[in-house]
Amino acid sequence: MTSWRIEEIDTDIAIVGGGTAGCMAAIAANRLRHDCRTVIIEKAHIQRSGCLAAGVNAINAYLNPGETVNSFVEFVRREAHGVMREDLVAAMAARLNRMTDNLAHWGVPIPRHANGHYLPRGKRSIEIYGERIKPIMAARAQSTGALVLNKTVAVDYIVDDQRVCGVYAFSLKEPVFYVIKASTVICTTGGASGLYRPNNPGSARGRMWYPPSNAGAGYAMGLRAGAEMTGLEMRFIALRVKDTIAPTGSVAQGVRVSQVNALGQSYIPKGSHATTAERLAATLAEEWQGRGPCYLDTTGLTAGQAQQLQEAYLDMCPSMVLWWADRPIAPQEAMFEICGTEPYVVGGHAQAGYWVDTGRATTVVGLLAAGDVAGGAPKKYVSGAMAEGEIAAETAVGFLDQLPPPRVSPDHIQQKLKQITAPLYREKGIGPDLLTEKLQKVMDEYAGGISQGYRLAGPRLERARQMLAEIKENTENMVAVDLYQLMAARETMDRILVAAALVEHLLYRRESRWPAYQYRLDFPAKDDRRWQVFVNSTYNPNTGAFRLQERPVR
Amino acid sequence: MSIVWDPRVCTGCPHTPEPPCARVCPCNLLYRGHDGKLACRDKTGCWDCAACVKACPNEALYLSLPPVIGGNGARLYGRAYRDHTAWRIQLSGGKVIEIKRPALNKIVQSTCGVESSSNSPKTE
Ligand SMILES: Cc1cc2nc3c(=O)[nH]c(=O)nc-3n(C[C@H](O)[C@H](O)[C@H](O)COP(=O)(O)OP(=O)(O)OC[C@H]3O[C@@H](n4cnc5c(N)ncnc54)[C@H](O)[C@@H]3O)c2cc1C
Ligand code: SF4
Ligand code: SF4
Repeated sequence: MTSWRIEEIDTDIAIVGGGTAGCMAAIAANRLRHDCRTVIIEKAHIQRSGCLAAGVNAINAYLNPGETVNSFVEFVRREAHGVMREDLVAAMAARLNRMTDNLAHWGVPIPRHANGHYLPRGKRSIEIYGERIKPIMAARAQSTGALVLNKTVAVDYIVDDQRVCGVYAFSLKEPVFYVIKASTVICTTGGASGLYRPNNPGSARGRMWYPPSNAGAGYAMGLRAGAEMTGLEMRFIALRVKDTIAPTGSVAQGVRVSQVNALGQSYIPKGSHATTAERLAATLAEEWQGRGPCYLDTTGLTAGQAQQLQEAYLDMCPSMVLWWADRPIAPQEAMFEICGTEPYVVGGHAQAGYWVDTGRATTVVGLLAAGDVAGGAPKKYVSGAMAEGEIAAETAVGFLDQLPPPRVSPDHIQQKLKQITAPLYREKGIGPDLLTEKLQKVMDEYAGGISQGYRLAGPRLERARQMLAEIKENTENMVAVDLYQLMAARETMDRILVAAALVEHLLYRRESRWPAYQYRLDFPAKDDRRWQVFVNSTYNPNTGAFRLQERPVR
Repeated sequence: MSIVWDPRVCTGCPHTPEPPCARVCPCNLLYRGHDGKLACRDKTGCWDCAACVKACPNEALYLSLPPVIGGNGARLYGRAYRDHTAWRIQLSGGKVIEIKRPALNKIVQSTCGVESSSNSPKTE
């Protein structure tokens, strides 16, 4: 690699990750302060990046008639088995419908009844034709005049005297190292996939549910900057269609089908109030008692409903349609088998992420977080991520005139550049893919992956901790031949750190709170008296040690 | 090995700084190779999102399931137009199904007042 060019950019707000929350943050910042300078740093291209790249077919957090902010909060409290931040969820819930209206206003097709209401898919969910949702949001964000750095990978925050005042990033197109100085930084990098060995092997390893490109950068950057994280131990394991890993929600909610075991018995009664985690656990229990595989019984669908189902999948997970075409069968000709995915760390479904205040400010001055990377508020989905993006933008704009101008020393820039680009200059070593494979094997086998039926136990987790420390040492030998591999090397580093933090959280909570997501064989009971608390962590990058602490649920 | 492209159809989009397919890949897998045609860094990392498929102006790309989860040769083509997305599904037996989905809401507002989706599929 030839020499690197250093490019310094001055801005008011830097948004890390141009996904759902990031685009909305840019739009809101511009609406609140027209003269506000905003930079969006996006590793792919904002037109089709992150969770929304393929599209969506529902808005999963919406208050249909009869639902209120309070009823939403109570729903989330049940889903989170008591541990959640009411202030965060309530602030988000109050904006869900307005965010959805925004999408409709910008051009996303959302069908309505003649009476003007959107079509409900469940109590808190509506149908949308969302294949183009991301390009539509991106166009809006771009029209604000924000500077969008596409194909630019954020690697670390610029920290000056315990304050975050910018972002280091590098371009995937040419050897350019960005030093983006900002009064406020909003982190919207999404959650983390790829920590565990995925469902599909080898040639299909990328066919997972959560985007492979959301590699946990925001969590890792936050940990390295000393930010407090919460709820990592509430992992998210999705119940999905086997092989294609397509969401089942479209089927189960969109057209009402039952979940049955191999004997044809329905094991989740109709109208059950089981939480998402309990539904997954019930499916696993059927498997372990010899009544698997389990299925979604689509055989009762009419031809029209089956057609509707295919169309809905094209808007969100096209490979499901391909799967039917490959047999070839129609959706109503065979039930489809379901399975759990590998565990993810994602604050938008579960609650792993930055510990934030109601304004989405993290514990580090100058740093805010929104969307899947922010903690304490499960069940955000698209509209909740947008709501949080807007809240964070409001807080950021409020900070603008309060914080002193950002500073960064030339020495520090040179040091960072050297550290980040090191894999390009090593002669020999291990490729990022091989190291990620090793990480995934360790997490799968020792930290409750698919092969362990997600079950956790102290001694195994301690072994995971030990092995992760070894893997971390291997990162000193990572090699990259081009900028793409340099990104992969960074993703590997980030995943290893997030995995290490996750293991600490899993070890700390000595009870079993969330079926399947967090089930300890050595502490199988839920203990509300002792453990109805948040488990939070901070990382010391100098010593490599984590400090765990508890915070009360209010 | 989920995305497949026909090098005879792919022009490499020489007049664009970055081919449309490569631009939109959320995983940054695609690029213009030395031969001026599309190339992929690592097919096993493909998320199957079809963003590249819909962005190609020449329909040179399609999705196909890798043998480990499929392998019977069905293909999914698609193309994003301003107000709709046109999908073409080639079943493993060779039959082709076309489905149009609305992508910008003017259409929906004018045609959809009731429950069902507005675009009934054409079947060949
Ligand atoms: C397959 C799938 C289907 C879904 N379907 C639905 C649905 O139908 N309805 C619904 O309501 N919700 C759905 N969701 C959930 C919803 O899409 C997400 O919760 C929400 O979009 C999260 O928004 P976010 O901004 O936090 O993350 P994202 O939108 O993923 O944004 C994160 C962004 O950060 C970028 N990034 C990551 N790392 C870096 C880095 N180091 N440097 C620069 N940029 C970086 C990524 O490229 C990405 O653009 C679905 C999710 C998935 C994965
Ligand atoms: S967009 Fe189509 S024609 Fe252009 S490079 Fe990509 S595959 Fe080839
Ligand atoms: S299907 Fe999606 S992930 Fe795969 S190459 Fe195309 S754009 Fe990239």
